[in-house]
Amino acid sequence: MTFDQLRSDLADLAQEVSIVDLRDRSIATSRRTAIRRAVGASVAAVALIATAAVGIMLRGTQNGALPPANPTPTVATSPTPSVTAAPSAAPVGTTVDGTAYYFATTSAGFRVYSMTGGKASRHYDVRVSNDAKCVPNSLIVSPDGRWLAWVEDSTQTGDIFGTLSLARIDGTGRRKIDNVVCNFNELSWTVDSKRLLIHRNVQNRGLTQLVDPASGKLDPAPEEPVGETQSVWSTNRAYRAFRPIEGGVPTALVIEDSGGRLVRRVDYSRDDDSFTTCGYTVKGISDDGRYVSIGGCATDPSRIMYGQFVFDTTTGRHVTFSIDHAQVVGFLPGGRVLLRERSQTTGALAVATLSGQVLARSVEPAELAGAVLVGYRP
Amino acid sequence: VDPSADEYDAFVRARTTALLRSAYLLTGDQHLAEDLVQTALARTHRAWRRLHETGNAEAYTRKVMYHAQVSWWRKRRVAESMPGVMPERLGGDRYGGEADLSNRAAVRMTLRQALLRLTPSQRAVLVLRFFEDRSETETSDVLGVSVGTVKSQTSRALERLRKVAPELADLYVAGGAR
Repeated sequence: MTFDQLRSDLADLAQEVSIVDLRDRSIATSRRTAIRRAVGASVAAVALIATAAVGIMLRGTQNGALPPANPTPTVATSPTPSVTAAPSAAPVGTTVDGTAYYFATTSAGFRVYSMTGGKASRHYDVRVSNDAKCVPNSLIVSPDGRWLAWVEDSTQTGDIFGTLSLARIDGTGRRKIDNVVCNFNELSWTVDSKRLLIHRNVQNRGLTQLVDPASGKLDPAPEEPVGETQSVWSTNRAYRAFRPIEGGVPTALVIEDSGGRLVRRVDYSRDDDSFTTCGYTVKGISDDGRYVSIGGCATDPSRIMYGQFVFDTTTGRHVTFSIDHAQVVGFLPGGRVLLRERSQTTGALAVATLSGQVLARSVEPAELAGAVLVGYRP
Repeated sequence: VDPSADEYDAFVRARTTALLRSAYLLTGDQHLAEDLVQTALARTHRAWRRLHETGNAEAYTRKVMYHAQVSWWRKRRVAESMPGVMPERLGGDRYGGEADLSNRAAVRMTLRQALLRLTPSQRAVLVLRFFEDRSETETSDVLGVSVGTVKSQTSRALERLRKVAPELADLYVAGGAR
């Protein structure tokens, strides 16, 4: 049996639909829309005049404490970021080194935070409607913590594409790039934070490009590998892990060294609810090529950035950590792994060894309880 | 008589059947399929003069339809909200023999419910690739994404299909891609 059977059954299923005449309905819809747009344009023109009249007063009352809702797209000389210290819970034991970056939903959009040593700082408010689904699905911080990127929905293109905003972590120097896909592919940074991988639709052609946040220069991205899933690399670039695609379906988990030599091929399976929808993906690999982090796969309404398990490919066993509900954020140099513990009310970051021993733990302040972790700088 | 209006009418008459069939696979519902095609045709009607001159009406309508379907998850969450009671496992005598009709009905039901458990974009690539028989490049053009994205979405869609309806996976996946 081949995919011809799928073709045949789809054709058979499609016969179920009753054919109706949509000529009158489509013309009526077209005319209604045209009238609505004409009315909307008039209302918008009036609103624009009214906004201009009160805009100066509103800005004056805020006294520059918050960034403007629509910063100019040109690169500006950056003032020192106005970082606001927030109250935080006392860390437990040794705190996690480095800085983690988050965003939380607010009534006005999404707020970017960082946490260093168990203390949270506020960096920037992405001020959009909470209906702007692309923003939480795309917002990401560069590995060096300097850059912020997100995609805002575009109503004109049916919410599939939007405008990419690329700015410093405090929101200054904002650049915009249009027609960036926001729900098929995630934005991802190169390890050196020098370029952001984006997927665009330009004149109805799909393009994968790399953008330099400092200059805004766009370059074509290297061809995506054919016949395998997207690779993940160890932080020392010595190993990569991926899944070959055979018969249209990802198969075993393969580890190769940087010279393309096969290190290990493992048949991984896990029959629990986590992976019943669309299988598993490899999220990361340790510097010695032995451990991988395993997670589910992203769907349209959400992204899954981190792994759920650490799997030892030499023994076929999962690593057990003394932390409940941990996400595997990523592998760190020196045989360590960064975990995030989450519960209904609180969370914590932890660094553990690959034998499962927790070395450091930072309890997240209350304002980060529901926040999404979108970056970490060791 | 406006010749442009006549040409729009002829276009609708000629393409509605094919569009409705694709839309039905995308939505799994007669009324939603009609709404989807109506939306696409209304956009086409508004742009008819330009589309007629460039000869791109068919491609434009399909693009609007697929884009609208993928974006509808935000507004309606069709796939995610439709529960599915999976039928009994399919028998081996699918085509031909006494059990043919009941088996075909079971396959339809299983496939319809399995499609609804895919994400809208996964469903879109499957319909374009395996119902409309579009190449990866053509599919990428319709959806406005890269060929690599089409490959990965197809692969995820088939893997998910295998998970949610293993009885179908036995039939579709074991044999490999064409």
